[in-house]
Amino acid sequence: MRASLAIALLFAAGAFAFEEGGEWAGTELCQGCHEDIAKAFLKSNPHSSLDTNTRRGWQTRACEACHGSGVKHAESAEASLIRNPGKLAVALADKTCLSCHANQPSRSGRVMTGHARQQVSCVSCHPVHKKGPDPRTQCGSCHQGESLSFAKPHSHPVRQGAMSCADCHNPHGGVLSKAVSTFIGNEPGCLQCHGDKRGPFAYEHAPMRTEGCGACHEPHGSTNPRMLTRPSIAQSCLECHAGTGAGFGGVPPAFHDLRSPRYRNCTTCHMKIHGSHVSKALLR
Amino acid sequence: MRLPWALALASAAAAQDISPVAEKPVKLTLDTGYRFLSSPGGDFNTYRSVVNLGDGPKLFGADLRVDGWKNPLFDTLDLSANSWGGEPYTMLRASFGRKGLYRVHGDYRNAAYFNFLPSFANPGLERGSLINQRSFDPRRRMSNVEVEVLPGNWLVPYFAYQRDAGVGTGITPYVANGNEYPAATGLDDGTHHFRGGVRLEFKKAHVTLEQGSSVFHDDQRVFSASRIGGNREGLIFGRPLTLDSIDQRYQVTGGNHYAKAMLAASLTRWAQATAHYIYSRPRTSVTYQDRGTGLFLLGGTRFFNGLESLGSAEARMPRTAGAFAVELRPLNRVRFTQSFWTDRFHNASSALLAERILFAGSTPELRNAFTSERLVVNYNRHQTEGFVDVTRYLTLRAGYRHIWGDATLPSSLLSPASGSIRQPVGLAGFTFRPGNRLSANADYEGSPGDRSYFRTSLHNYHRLRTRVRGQVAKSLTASGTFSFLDNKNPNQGAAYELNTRTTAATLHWLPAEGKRASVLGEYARTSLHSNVFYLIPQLQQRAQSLYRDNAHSVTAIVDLHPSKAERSPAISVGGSFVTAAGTRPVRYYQPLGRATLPFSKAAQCYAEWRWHGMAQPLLPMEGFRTHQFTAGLRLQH
Repeated sequence: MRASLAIALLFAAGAFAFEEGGEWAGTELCQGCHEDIAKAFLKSNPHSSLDTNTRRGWQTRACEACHGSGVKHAESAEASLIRNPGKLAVALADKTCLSCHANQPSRSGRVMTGHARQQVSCVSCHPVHKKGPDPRTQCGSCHQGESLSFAKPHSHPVRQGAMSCADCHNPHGGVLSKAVSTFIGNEPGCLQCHGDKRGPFAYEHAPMRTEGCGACHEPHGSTNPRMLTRPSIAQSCLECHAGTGAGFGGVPPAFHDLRSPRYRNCTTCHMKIHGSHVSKALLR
Repeated sequence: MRLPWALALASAAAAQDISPVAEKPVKLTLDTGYRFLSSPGGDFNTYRSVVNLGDGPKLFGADLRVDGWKNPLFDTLDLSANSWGGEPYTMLRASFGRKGLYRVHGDYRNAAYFNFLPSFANPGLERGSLINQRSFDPRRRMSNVEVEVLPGNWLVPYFAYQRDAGVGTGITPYVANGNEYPAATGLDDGTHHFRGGVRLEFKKAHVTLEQGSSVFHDDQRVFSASRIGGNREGLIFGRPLTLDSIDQRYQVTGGNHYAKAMLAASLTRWAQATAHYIYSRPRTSVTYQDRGTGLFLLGGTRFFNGLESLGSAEARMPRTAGAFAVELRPLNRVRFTQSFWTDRFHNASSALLAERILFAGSTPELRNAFTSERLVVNYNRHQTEGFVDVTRYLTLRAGYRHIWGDATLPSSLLSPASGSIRQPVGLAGFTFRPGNRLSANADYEGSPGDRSYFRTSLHNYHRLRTRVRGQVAKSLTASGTFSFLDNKNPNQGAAYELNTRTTAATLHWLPAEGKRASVLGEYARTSLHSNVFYLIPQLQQRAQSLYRDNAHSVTAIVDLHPSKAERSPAISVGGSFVTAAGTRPVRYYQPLGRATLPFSKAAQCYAEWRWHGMAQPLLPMEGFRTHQFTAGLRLQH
């Protein structure tokens, strides 16, 4: 970490700004040519508040808050003389958006997530000038494998419209892996709906705390009941509870005779598999 | 079921043209109709567990949107309702506000959570019993309201309230000494969550301070007043083990207080930093009691007739988490990101369980057990990544992630008391975007593996994901994804091997801008192979657990408009189809056909047919097939 910080500081001497200053054309001038866009923008776009809001310093020039100075473009009508965030390198385009939106709670941890690392720009999902389709419905256009998992028989009801990807994931960032959203401080978003699994329990099942729900469940959809990663309960449990070598998960005592169906359905006895308040063996 | 991203792709083409269409100040849409359902063939409980759509009159959707209304209370209003009329998933959303003054978002959801599969958790299946001993039928009701005051100002206070409650019934086993008895259970849990905070927006730094609190309860009850035989077959010393009555109650109450602070700052023109800190203190307090009568076995040789238990427990789990990330852009084409995340918590609990074992004609036996447990988990993650814009169209990146931590569990006969995780991960990838018509990216990560908590955790692995998306022609958009994960754990006597592959492709064809026809198709082929050794408990011998899942999934929808006229009728055919082979073969088909007839610009009627069919060759009792017919009216103003 120190090494890369040092390298970064070394480069700092050569750092330069990609911001621009100078003269401004003003919204009225933009409106002269881009009448339809400007009308709709000023009427219903939340960004139009920039035109009157004195705090951010873009009053009477809301268009230029994102597009930069439009003076040269206005003089020549040349498209290349104005910044088009849709055609900029992603990091530069996003910088425009993040200069205002960086601190919204959902943006926390942005650089740690796949969208920032994969150069998925803000405008890939959010049309700026007009209201487009709900961004929460667009994830499947890139995440096709996950989208089709919801067509499996045991799945979260995303295709039924009961929930969206954004109910579990924070597409803008997050501190948990796979951009899983957090709830009540730092609980994983799964507990938002599955509150009875929350705990803390007097007797915890360790994977719940160390690996999360994904240790046993396929969160998008599965051909296995309860969206388990394996078709039978015994297989799910015994792959960890094998008692060989290091790692958590000891072997069940010998009276667990797998030839009997009682012992092939582990959760019939170990019913409080997510954690128990009463029994150390998670029996009640 | 409309393909959820159909709108997204459809709009992608439209997004090329950024000229907005003049909007009406008030928009209202209403979609209502009647659904007829043929009697499901096969197992109705499986149908309810998977589909659960019923018949009757329905409000499929209603939307009201008001923009720019001159009104002292609000200038924007969005109301939408989906799937009302006994549907398994019901939703209501509201959003309104006044520019610069306040903004309110709220939603309400009601979800049926039915699950009763004859083969799941059913020790009696081989005897012909079709009782899922772990089934449930609750409804979860969730509501959420968030109020933002003075949005767009430098100081934005906000408040939110969220509620999640589940009430219903089910079946769960009552576990007594030596046997388990499926009994009725009543489920009742709920959480109220309040949070409030303030966002401070300065020119170069933004700060969010938030505090929240939640309270929850879980009052599950298990009860039965009739004689139940239990899962243990046969007689013990010539007598059957039975449960005559049971009344078991959990009274779990708890809560959580947390404080959260976030900072985002532009340190210089080439450096941005974000920091994140959360402290939370969840706790639970439990009272438990049960009273069961019947004939139970004690220690393998003695019978007893009643068991009374009284327990209480407390658990506290203080948790501190923090993250720091910095993005540096020393050169125009070079940037670095550094992030660090730490999450530390422990759960300290104590529990007391007093039991009274009742014998016919002799003195009760008393047992008390007090335990004090402590689970400690520390997790840390550090990631460094460098990005180079080699050309305007190509960005390369490479980096390193290090995950380390440890966990200490309460000592147990079943598992070691402590373990650690250590995972060095190499990262690489590229993004290629030569224009708006083509983009491709790849993301690779791999680790040689060092230490992991579980035998099936990510250990020695390689993961690759590539995506290509392009506009092949003006009317044709295609995209494809390929990903694989190879994970091995050669240590720990597991010999674990996991290979997954996903290949997916999407095609969206809009000939003549979709005026006459549009085709949307998506296909995915996924395969999962897993081998791992485990120990057969009764023999203490090694055996191999094999799991195979090879699935093909297709969704498609073809929309046809016989004429180009504005009020042309339309026909849609398509649906989704999943077939999986391997350890648990499944076929799940959902074809659909739909005809729409517009009366006017504002009204149209439609008729729709769907078929839901699921078959599992190895579990023939767990399948269903049913037809659905829907006739509806859609009004728009």
